[in-house]
Amino acid sequence: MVSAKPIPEALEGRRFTFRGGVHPPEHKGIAEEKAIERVPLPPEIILPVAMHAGAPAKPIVEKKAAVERGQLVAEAGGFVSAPVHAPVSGTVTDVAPRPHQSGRMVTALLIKTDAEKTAEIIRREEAQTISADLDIGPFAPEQIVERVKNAGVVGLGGAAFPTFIKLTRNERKPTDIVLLNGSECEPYLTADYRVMLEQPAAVIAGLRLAMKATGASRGAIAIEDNKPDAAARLRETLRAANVPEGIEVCELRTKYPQGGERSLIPAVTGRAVPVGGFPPDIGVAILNVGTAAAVAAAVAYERPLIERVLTVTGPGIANPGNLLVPVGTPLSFLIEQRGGASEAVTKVVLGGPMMGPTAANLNLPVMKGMSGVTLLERAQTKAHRVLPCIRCGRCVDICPSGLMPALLARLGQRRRAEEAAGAHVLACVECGSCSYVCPSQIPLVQHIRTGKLLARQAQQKR
Amino acid sequence: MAAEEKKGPRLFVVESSPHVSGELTTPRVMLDVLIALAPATVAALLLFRDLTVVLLVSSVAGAMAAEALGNRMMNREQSLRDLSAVVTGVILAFCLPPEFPFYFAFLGGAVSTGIGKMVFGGLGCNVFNPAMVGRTFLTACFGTMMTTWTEPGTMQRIGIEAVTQATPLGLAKEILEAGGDPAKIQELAALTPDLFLGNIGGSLGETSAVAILLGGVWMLLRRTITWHIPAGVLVGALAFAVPAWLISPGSVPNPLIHLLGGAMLFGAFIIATDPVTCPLAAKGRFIFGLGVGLLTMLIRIVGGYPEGFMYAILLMNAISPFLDRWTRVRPLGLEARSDA
Repeated sequence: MVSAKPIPEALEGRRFTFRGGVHPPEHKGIAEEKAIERVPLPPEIILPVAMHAGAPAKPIVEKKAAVERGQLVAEAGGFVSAPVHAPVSGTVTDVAPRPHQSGRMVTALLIKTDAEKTAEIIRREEAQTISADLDIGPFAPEQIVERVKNAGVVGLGGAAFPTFIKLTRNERKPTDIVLLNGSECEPYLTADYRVMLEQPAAVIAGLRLAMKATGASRGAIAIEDNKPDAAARLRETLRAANVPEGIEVCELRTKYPQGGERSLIPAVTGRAVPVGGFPPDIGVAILNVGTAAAVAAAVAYERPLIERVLTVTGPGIANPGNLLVPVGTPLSFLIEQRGGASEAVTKVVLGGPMMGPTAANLNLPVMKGMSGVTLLERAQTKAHRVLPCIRCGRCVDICPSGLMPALLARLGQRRRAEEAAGAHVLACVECGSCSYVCPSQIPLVQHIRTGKLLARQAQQKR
Repeated sequence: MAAEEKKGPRLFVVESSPHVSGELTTPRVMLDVLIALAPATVAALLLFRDLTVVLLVSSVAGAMAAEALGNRMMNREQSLRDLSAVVTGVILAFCLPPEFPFYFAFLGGAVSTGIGKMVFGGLGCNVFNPAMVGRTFLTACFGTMMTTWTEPGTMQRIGIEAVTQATPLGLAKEILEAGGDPAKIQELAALTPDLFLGNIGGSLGETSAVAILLGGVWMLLRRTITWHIPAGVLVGALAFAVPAWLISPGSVPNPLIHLLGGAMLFGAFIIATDPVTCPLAAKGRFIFGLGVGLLTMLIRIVGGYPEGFMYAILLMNAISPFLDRWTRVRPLGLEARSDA
């Protein structure tokens, strides 16, 4: 255990920030005013068994089985894994490999939607409200963890790490603080913003449950200062709910990648996440704000994670918005619902433009960790001429992880696994800041990814 | 729907993130350097008139010609549009005596990019500052011409006997070699205002401190350069010049003369900050600057030449890869690495 620095007494009223980072144009105006709305139910759901970090889930229903919204259809495939539940009522038409975000074919359950039955359950769910002062007394820490685990809750910020693991107490690594990440630093995306604005009570209830589960005495919701109304809304809700002290709302300077946990945690707590380690090593549990809301629903009503809020945005979509979507909704259906992609769309980014992977076509489904779909047009993605590195050092100056991207990229490109590992290539979080600032337009992150892959392979061999 | 099936599903570009990039491009970086050189160009035009145009044109032409030829020989795409050859040519011209023959300036420009850069593989691959390689070549070949200084404002043309004037640093060296001369040191100190404006003998673009500082501020504002190298150079130079002056004020001019005289300022802001040949990390850049400043003063005060900036740069260029190694930045959270 590392001797941890004390976390500042009061987090409110300060503007936290981190070393490095960049300021890409935000483009949040496209969707930030749009209230969360439910899209019509898709006629068919494609439900991959791998929607989370860790082992894929194992299907427990077969072809032709009738399923109900919320029913367990695939169980966790290991410790680091998450179960999958049916987001719609209907019939399983197939269990077969389908194209997956990773580029591979992954087993998926195909479910034909029974719109009427599904709508009925949704109506019932909508009657279940969560208040910020939710009585968490009846829930023992173990029970909170169990319910979160059974509900298949994973991080909604992108990495989709099973949340129950973060909430499990570890006597050797006590949790001092639970941080909720409401930074949403990716350009274009506004889903977390809308969740904070429209579901502040669920977010706060989720935070209180997470604090109880981990045994943390403090909790904080960290928000970039470009979203002052979200911060105000949460503060208001906190005050009105009169929940126990120890929960603060703190502001962070707007800078990318403020929402990366390795930038956010040191900014707020003054403790750096160890290279090769994780936030629990320094007494921190960190969840996305949307995840906190999902935790509240999972614990209070045993509601599984079967839908999420995501932003459909970008210059290439006719009708952008923040949408409440069943997991497994085909992107083609989703985009169609929002007026379709313009002719000029060249890239479909799953998430925001700094870190999101691209989709070759729209046959992929919405996944648990998908925070947005950004449709970029030719004007935003024009091919740049790559020039030689002029060693200007901008990438080094802005790297939030304190790495030397130019060096790592060169090592990756030359497939020098050992040297790349020695230069801590595995500490790269792939935030994309280096590629963003590079005046020679070198795809640094791409080369560094190669380096990471080779370094991991070399480690395994040893 | 039917039509779509015939076409097959619409396909999109698949690429590694990030999918957006900043405004800054390498040609723009080079352009910013050229903009930073504009005040010095104006100063040179005022001080040395048409000589400025002749030298600039011939040196830049030489630099561009050798780059084009190099690309041709290596079967590479032409790279003149990245503007780096222009920058090299201008910097070299600014480091030449105003009445230096234009054909040799052309040759110097050609050596700068040809030998200084293309031989190593082009932009980004060279170890030494190309303009300084060119200048070293010219110094080695045409030593006398490289130290014949024109009095500003005179309109002597090439071929006509030049009215020569000792540079402040040349004067300083004479005093030093004579074992000191308090009266002459006083005289030298009186030159300070001229050093600011550039109304003294010296290289084409190096004489006006004001013009150079303006350019430096531009580059700092545009973040073309960071403060580390200029600060390092000036701190390094002062670290040597101040004690030397305190020890023997009768033979060493005051440190201000050393900062404003010769290539010190031009070098600190424009030459030493060449990104390709300096270290990557901020700490390394500062140490690089320190070394340049110290070595320059060592050569000026202890060594055999009145000016040592060129050699100081080249020496520090040579150890720049080692500085890179010594000053590797430490990843965030490395100290906090857990034993688990």
